[in-house]
Amino acid sequence: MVGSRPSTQIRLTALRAVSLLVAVALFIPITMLLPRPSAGAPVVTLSMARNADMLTWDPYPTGDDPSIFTQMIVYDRLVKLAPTNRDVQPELATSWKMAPDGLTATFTLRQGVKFSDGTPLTVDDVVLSLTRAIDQKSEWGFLFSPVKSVTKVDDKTIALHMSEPFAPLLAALSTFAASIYSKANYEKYGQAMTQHPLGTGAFALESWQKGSQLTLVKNQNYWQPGKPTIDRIVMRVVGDDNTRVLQLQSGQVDLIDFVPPNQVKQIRGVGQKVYAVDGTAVLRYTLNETIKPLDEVNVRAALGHAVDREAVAKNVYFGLATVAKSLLPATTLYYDPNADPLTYDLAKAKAFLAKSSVPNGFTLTVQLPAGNQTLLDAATIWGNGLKQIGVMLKIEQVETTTLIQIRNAEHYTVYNAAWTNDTPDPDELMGVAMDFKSQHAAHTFYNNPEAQQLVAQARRELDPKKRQALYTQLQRIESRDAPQIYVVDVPRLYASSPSVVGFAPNSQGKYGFENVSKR
Amino acid sequence: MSAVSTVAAQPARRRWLATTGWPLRFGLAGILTVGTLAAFAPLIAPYDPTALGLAGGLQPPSAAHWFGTDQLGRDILTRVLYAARIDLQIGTIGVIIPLIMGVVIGLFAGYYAGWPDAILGRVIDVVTAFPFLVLVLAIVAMLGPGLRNFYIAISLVSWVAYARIVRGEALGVRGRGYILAARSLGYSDARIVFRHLLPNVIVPALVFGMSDFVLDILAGASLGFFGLGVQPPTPEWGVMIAEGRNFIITAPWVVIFPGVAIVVTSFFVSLIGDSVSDIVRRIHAP
Amino acid sequence: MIRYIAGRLLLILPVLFGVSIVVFMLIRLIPGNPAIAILGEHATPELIARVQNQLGLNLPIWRQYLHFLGNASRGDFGLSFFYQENVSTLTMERIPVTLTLICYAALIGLLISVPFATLAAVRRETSVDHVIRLVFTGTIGIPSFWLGIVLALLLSVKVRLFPLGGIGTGGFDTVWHLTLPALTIALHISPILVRALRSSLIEVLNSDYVTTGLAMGLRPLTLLVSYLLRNGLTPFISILGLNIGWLIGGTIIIEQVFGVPGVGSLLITSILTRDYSIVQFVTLVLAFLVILVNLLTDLAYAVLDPRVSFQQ
Repeated sequence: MVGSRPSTQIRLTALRAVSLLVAVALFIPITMLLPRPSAGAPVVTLSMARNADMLTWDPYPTGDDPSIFTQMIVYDRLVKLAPTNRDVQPELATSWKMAPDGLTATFTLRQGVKFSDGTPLTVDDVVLSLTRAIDQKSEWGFLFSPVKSVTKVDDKTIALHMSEPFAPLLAALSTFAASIYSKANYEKYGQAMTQHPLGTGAFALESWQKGSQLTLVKNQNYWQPGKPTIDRIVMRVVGDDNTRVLQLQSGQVDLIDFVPPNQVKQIRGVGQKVYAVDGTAVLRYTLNETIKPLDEVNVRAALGHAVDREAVAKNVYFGLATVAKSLLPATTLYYDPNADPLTYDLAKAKAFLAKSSVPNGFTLTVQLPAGNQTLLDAATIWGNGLKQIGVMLKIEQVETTTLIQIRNAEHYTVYNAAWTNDTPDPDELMGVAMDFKSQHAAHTFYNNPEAQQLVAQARRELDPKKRQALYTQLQRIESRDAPQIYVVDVPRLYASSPSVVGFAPNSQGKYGFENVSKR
Repeated sequence: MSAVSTVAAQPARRRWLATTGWPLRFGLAGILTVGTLAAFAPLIAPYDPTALGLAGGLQPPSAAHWFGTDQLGRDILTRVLYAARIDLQIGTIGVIIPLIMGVVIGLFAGYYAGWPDAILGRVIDVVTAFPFLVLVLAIVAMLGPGLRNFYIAISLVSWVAYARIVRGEALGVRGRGYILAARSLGYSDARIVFRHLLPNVIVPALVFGMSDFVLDILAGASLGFFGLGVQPPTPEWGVMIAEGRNFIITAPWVVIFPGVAIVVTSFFVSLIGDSVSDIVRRIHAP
Repeated sequence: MIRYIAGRLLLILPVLFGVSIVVFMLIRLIPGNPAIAILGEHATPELIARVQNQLGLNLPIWRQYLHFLGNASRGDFGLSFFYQENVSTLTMERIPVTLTLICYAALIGLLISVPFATLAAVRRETSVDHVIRLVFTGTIGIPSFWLGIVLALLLSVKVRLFPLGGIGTGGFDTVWHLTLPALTIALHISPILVRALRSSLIEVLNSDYVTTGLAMGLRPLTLLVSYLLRNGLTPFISILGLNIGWLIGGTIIIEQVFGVPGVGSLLITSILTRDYSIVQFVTLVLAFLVILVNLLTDLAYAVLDPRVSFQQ
């Protein structure tokens, strides 16, 4: 032991060897400082970091938000949502007319529109796109259920034929599901259209490294003169929230989505722009009424009055969300905040519970998608309120795909949903929430014939005043029976560098780039 | 820890103590302190670990909250103390089960060589061919998140590391004189393996186990990154860091303190590991 | 020796076969299937059934496996359910990225750990040793994603030294872009390397031949390079080989954090979305890589340590 200590000589040599290695180690960073090749093409490129890649260019089977948003950039629709979110404006259709019986709508097509490959847009393209859109077997067919067929009237007119008057028609036609794409391209690729889009939008697909990067290029044949001013959009997939924010701050990208709410103040503080889009979704708890005691209205009402919505808005969304007063987001048509909304009121909650079969409380399980911190924090706040009325909330985090399976199989107890709202018309949300026949009322098994009849009536009713009355009544019923417990209106958050001008995402979450420029 | 004492319980106990330097004492004292804090967390901790303080979210460290509060106003000091209970358990169970599994299997494979070794070799190859984290993630996704399933996943995956180390070492020493001598004396295989082979091959496995202690906690943190770690409301350091990662820039204390807890604990464990390996090496110096 | 290597190479096939069975079953045992993941929340049961049918998921699992095996033997590893593209095309551009990242990280890891470990071993139980050990035992407990974000904040936002995310335009630019993630992985793995190397160097320093070598008048540098590092590196290489799976695992999280389009981030996403074909293919590629590294490790072990002979 004693004799085995290295001599001073060996130590010195070791030190020399170490310094040699340190020099080698420094070599790498030094070579890194060499001048780098610059991508010096004189084009205006806007780079965006998104949290997920899109999956498909075919609207028919589309289910994910990135696909929806990107399709909205590359395809146009007959009509588009007005900036007010209340009405629609012409896009590929210049005018439209509803027959007096409300069963036929005719649309006049804009003339001279070309697809990005230069071929002209024809009535046939529109008929094909919309015929696939209204297919009840497609993912979004339910949005158009009364529409029975789409026909060509003449070379610039199409007609939609309905089985009954259909008030949400124009709103439904403004969704991505009613996107117009090239018939020739669809026939050429068939199934593979999921990979090869051809639309009339301001940008066209240039290249797609799936799961990592998507490049859109300016449509040289775009029908709006002088637009777009950006030549190329590069959309990178960056799954980590912090990394997107840091990339924006280091100037690597111009625009990011899904900004973590807690960082909004800090991002604004360093001079970046933050866009908070209200009304894209309402965070809510979907209760499975086949699980006792959730079949009792008093239990559901008690649970609904135990959500501290102010706290969720403040602690989880850092003041960027607003307290929900209806199942409908506040930006929806016929939203009524005064239809006896569920509020945070523990005394009321206790009173409701006392009238139920479980006056002293019970244990409730909520299944959340794993890794979603926002939903976890919101549920923790709910659990805190529930504890005070004697209900123990057990939070289970389930891997996302597994959770959707459990939800579809209706084996869940409480499910946390925040669907993106696709249309400004309440028909989609109320229809899904109340229609027992198609998906057991959003898998809640809430079966209220009165509400179902009101939804159908409101869909047929073309008079806005009467529709308002019907939807107010529906919101009142929803709040009373609480098949779904709404919590907060969730904002969708984007941020950009100050050089990006004209970026204006709407309440559908759509962000177009035809009016965006880069200084 | 039990494996450590089997090795140390050699005739040279007095020598063992005599040659013990400050690192071992320091490491043991440190771990004991962490253990004590964990055991008495309900008495020491100033608050309830699950109690929300919604009016006071994301408070920086102060006299009332030494480590600050998280976004729901929970006291981070309290949660770090309570989390120590889970994390010491994760580290210990997550090392001991795979260590025993791997050492026993690896020893016999290395000692007998031949076909048991060939089979084990292929099994080890198959399991090590998977990236550790991917396999753990897949198993936890299959079984569902939770502490018990986490132990199952860790045990199924990490025993091979021990088996590989021990087998390699055993293959290296099985031809040595003292093993051959023991064999010629007619000792039973079990006796040769555990009395003569084990002490000579265990050191690298123990050293690995000491770092594995920390790696298990970090694996828990990585699972927390995907929401599949220790489930709420139980506080756990790794999950606290994973859940607080969006606050790294705006409220760093949310992640720094649980991080420091992992670092400090791993430091003590490493000190023990290094010292034990030094001691064993001295005792068995040829 | 050649027979040994040939034998080891032959053994790769059964191992890959075993890996393919394990991954095939494991990914299908996770509840939920790709049809659900693709179609999302609005999916109707009819649409799900149709997509499942298209994907061939309604066949018995053993038939699915035989299909897979038959196609794989012809080099066809199937379509990605999500991206409707051949998995080998999909991963072809990603594999080099991950390989570069791993090698780059291992290189930086070695450059960090060898000097510090040598210094600590040679000046054992002095304050230099204590400080090195203190720092490296401390850093082992830092989760890699946390380290990654902090490094990005410091070196990319505060000081705009390195780019953050992406892989640049290829060649040197790609290496440049991979510096931050590689540094993160290297810092993450270096504590283990430092400790392993220090501990084995000390063992060698204590051995008789060092004393003898010095007594015989060998130059210390010769001794350090030819005896110490060589003998000390033996267990060290074993540790590095052992950790290759862990290194790749670390790469996966770091790719996710930095948005590096490698196979690691693809693998994780594909597990979560049940894109079976991708999971199978990427796992097999990574497994092949690990087996190769292990083989090289064993060879290096045998070359460096005369006690181990080329026997099976």
